[in-house]
Amino acid sequence: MQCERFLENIPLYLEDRLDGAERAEWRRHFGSCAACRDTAMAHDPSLLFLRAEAPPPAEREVERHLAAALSRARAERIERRVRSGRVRRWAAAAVIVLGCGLAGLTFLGGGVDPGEVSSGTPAIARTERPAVEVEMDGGVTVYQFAEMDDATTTVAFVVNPEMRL
Amino acid sequence: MVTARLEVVSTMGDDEQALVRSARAGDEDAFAALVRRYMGGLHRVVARMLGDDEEAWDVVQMALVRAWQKLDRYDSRWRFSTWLYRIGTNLAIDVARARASRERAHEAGGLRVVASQETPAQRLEASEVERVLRRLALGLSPQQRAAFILREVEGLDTAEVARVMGCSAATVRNHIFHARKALRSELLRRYPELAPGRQEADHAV
Ligand SMILES: [Zn+2]
Repeated sequence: MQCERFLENIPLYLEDRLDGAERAEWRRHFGSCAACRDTAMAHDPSLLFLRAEAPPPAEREVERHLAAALSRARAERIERRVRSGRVRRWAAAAVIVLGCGLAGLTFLGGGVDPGEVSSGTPAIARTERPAVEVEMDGGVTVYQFAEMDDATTTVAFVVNPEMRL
Repeated sequence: MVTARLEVVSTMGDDEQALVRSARAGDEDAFAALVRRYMGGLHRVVARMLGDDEEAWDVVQMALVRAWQKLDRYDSRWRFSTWLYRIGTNLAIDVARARASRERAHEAGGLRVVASQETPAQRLEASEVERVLRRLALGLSPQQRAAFILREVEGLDTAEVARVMGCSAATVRNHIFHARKALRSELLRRYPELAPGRQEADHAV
């Protein structure tokens, strides 16, 4: 794009009246021609932000957050199942309440009644979402329904492989 | 450099449609492959809206959870990225609204000028421009932030921004008009050295 044309198009750019190709061309020229960029920015300083650039996140970081999101989704699914009582129908879950410092270990047994889940293990109802999962041999998956620093941590063992989420 | 750097403008190929089908059938790996390519861009948009990288990752995670849970509601006539950005942008708008009062307190706490008086705008590093953007964007309404960032900074079409935000193109233009006005005046007030020769001209706007 010629400088002259770029300068003529400044008001049209700002009013969003350039078509896609012209607009892309205008932005390219803004990025490459310092003199035109200065003139445009004197016209409207908010054009400065066309130059904003954020470094892309590290691949490792993307993977970490992706894994965390998938884990959150699985945990929410199983918590919904526990809440809706489908766990009882499957006769699949056993819920253990670990007291503070793992002192009072109470095993509530398999085939949890949904009533028991809400009244017997208030940690489930109280917790925002299960946070941790561990997969063990033999298709056993462990979901934790509270943070480690909570006074009470509830862990659900899902032993039926069909319950695996 | 101003370049087309948003993955969201890529067209939805057969590969992507196949991934959507597999993900809908419950294939978690397909879902991961589908969203992985847009996570960086979505994170950048949300971080610019919220001015906070870590909080932005939390929003991205929430967006992925929602997308995975509601994949059956995705209309494949849209680009998958548009749908994902819509979920993420709406969540970011909610977060921004919820913490509006905290932001006002933050703003009143005083601002550090990142550029020295000797640093005119053309010599400012892109990363410094990014910091100024994130700081000043907090003064905009959440919708203005979303519209300005998606359209002006990321370079999406107005029509696509409208789809992401669930409003009309005219509304997008209106948000951008007001965002520009506010950014212009905040730039002149807080970073006058970044807008040389602008002080008198601004009165004419
Ligand atoms: Zn030029």
